[in-house]
Amino acid sequence: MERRVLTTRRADARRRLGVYAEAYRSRLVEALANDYPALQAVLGEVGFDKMMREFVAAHPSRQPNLRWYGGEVGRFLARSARSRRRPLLAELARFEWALGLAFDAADAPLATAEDVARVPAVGWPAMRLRLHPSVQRLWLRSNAPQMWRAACAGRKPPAAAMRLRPSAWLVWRKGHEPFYRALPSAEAWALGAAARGRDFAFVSSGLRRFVGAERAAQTAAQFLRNWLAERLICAIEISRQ
Amino acid sequence: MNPLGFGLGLRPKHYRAILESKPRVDWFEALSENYMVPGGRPLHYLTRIRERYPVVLHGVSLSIGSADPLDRDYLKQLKALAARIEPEWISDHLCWTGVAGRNLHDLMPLPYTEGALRHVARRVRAVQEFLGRRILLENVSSYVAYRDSAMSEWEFLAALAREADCDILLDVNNIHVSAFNHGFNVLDFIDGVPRDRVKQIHLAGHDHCGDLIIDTHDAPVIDAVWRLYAEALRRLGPVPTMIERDDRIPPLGALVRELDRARSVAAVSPPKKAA
Repeated sequence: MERRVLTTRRADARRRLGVYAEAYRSRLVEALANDYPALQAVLGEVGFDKMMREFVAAHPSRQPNLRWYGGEVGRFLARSARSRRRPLLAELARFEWALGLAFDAADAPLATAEDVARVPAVGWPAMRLRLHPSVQRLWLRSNAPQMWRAACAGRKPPAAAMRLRPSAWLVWRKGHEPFYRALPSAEAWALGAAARGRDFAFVSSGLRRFVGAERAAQTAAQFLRNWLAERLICAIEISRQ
Repeated sequence: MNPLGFGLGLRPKHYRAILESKPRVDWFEALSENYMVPGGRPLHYLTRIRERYPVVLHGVSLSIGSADPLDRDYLKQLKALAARIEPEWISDHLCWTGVAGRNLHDLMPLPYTEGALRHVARRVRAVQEFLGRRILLENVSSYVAYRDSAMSEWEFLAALAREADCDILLDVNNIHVSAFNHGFNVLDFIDGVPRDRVKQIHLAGHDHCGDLIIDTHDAPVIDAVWRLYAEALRRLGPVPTMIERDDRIPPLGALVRELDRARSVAAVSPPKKAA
């Protein structure tokens, strides 16, 4: 390339091409800073810049739209020599990316309690829920969500804490804002079953192993009420099978 | 008469202020890629702003000069966005942004050769056929020029507009930047573009590094660019004009005041009578 570019008195070919090389790196790092503000706050500007330049060097962009460039940062941090001993970083990146996906996930109309009220009692076992496109479940071993909240509020982040077993988190969008909360394991399972299109009979019976046979149906109904109120459900469908 | 008036680049930071303060802005230019997302806040605000103002779409990823095949997915998304927003027009840049499936996310200039002209003209025609409308192509700020080039940038742009039947988005700041970086006369550029094809003008600020000027869009328009803008209007006649700011974005009011300066410059720069 250098041989094809003109050198002038003002600047030689190397300097001229260097403008593009530096612009490429800094533009991508800037896009990543936009996707991962909490990761940047935790690493500090210099640390973030250094780590993201490594990411950029290892990941040539194949996305015409910069919006989708940074999806692999979590996986990169989990593997990279510099960060893999700090597993919190990879989890924080996964968490932030999920919030970003929730932010501009597709719009969809919301189901209401009235939609459920219209389903006759005999229809309940065959009910299937269509979840809002922004709904995601995440399993995290670290306190990445607390870290994220502190970083975004400009507070000193808490110390990284890792548990042996991962716990489930829910990420979704309410109105225009991404939300998240912890998911107790029974609810995480039930929401996963609903997301896979399993009917309400399946969800209720599966909940027996979490809450016992006598409370399973009532728990399923309570989850459904909560999910509707939290705007997680777009449609209630009755399957014919 | 300037048909659309004076516009601003639409930036997320200003969404609420635009809807709440109804600023003295005639139209907005939205960056197409920012709205090529499934849903949520960006599309919500663009749709609401579109209900109140004319909008034009301005892309950075068409890569019209690339040797790669045209990106059909990108074009489909652009067409869907245009169907939703009904923009006054769609523009992108006379450049290439990547090759072999890799993206540079930058606006790389082309070698200005007969071969490149035929290649780009063919692609512009294909894009226009797909979108069902003419597009505008913008002259980019550049830091490199190629040994192979056999004509000037403006000769290339003029020939392309003729051959591909497309329009021109003239970035007056980019002319200033590239003229400094490559040592050509800014007025040769403006005199070299066909006036009936120039449908929009961009104004912006930049960063002077001493040896080169880097087009950063992070500062107010400088006086030399205002003077060049006045000269462009005298030579081209009234053209819809907008100010682009992509970094260090000030409050909306500051950009509205800067846009007022464009209105004032236009008011005292009547077109010269054709010879």
